[in-house]
Amino acid sequence: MKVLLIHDEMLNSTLPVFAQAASAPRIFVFDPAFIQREGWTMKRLQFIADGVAEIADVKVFKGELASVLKMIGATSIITQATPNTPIRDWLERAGVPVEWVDEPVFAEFSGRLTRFTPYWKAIESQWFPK
Amino acid sequence: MEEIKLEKRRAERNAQIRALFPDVHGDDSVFAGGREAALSALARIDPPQYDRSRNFLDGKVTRLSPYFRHGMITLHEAASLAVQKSGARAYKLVFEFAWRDFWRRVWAKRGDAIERDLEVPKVPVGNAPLPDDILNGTTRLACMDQFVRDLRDVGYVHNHARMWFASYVIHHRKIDWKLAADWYYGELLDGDRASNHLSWQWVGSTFSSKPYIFNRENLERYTLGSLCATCEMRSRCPFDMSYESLELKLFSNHGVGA
Ligand SMILES: Cc1cc2nc3c(=O)[nH]c(=O)nc-3n(C[C@H](O)[C@H](O)[C@H](O)COP(=O)(O)OP(=O)(O)OC[C@H]3O[C@@H](n4cnc5c(N)ncnc54)[C@H](O)[C@@H]3O)c2cc1C
Repeated sequence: MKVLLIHDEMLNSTLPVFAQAASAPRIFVFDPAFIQREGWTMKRLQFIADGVAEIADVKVFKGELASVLKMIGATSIITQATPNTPIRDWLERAGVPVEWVDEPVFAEFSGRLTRFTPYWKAIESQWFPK
Repeated sequence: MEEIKLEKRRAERNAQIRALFPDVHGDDSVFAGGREAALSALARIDPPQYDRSRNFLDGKVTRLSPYFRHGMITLHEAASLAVQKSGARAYKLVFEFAWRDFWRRVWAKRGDAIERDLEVPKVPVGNAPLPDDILNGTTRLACMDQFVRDLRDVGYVHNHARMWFASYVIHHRKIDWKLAADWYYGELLDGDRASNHLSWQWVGSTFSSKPYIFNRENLERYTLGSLCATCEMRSRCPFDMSYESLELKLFSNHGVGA
């Protein structure tokens, strides 16, 4: 069974990944080891819980990710792509294949990333056409 | 391992989360999370007023960062609304949104390397440990202590205050930026490795062409003097000098942390 794993950068069911994974059961996992590595405070956990609570039909767990997946019989994950290395490592170590769906883009950019100003000059006209 | 039925009402849910994670520190969140709260914050943006006042601590900043960080709204929808509302007068706000996108792209490209010096520092920097007076906000500098209270009590700090604070920590106290950035990341509601760690590097000069420094005149102007007025260190303020003197004090080879 493929599940939509909702991570902490995608607490919003209008994101494209939710439509793309419309038939997959939705889960959110509070993994204590992950939370400890991130060093999050109580405020942050509560803020995140506010976001999770608004998403319809999501099963919420507290526990180690791999054990949660095993318990519910998940054999693969679909989720939103991210450069967030702690999230990537966490999911990739859970022992099941992960399908990453692109996150919405702010601007198209394929140039060389050096400093902010050249980047802004390259994308500016997408928001403020000359 | 357990399945959790999240409480519907926020106060009860906050208590539920606290009971589930007894080892996690900190007060309850004053910011409400979620898409609905994000959309109401978004509806309140005032791009022209933002442009005029964003550098002031009491300026019309958006406080959207915790919502962006958790995907509750996207940069694209916020920028679309800003432009729809204010046209060309949304320029500055969209420009600031772009910083978040830029840092994220750097993260995508460089991965975990953003947690180490990306470039050689352009000035001498230190590697002192994080002392208690910084962690607890007891430096006796009214400004810095207030910024730590904002961080710990609310988890939100104004951008200018983050810049002043990081500059004080790195350049005056010669503290290892990575130690400071890791701590700061955990305390923030919007804690994001790209925006946070790369901003610390920007202030420190390991991802910029020069360090960011400020003086008292600058801080006093953008805080409307409110913090200096009550500061017990106001006659011994380490920031009360010209930029030339500050550079000499902080970056000459014999410079010692204040
Ligand atoms: C030392 C330091 C640490 C920081 N750590 C973080 C962090 O962990 N997470 C985070 O989101 N931002 C971080 N920032 C960037 C910036 O301070 C915050 O995004 C901003 O203060 C959030 O408040 P706001 O939403 O009211 O901002 P506004 O001024 O209203 O700006 C609107 C939005 O534009 C973006 N933005 C504005 N300025 C910046 C900036 N300099 N860099 C990146 N994005 C920006 C943010 O998404 C912000 O929500 C840090 C800056 C510094 C100097």
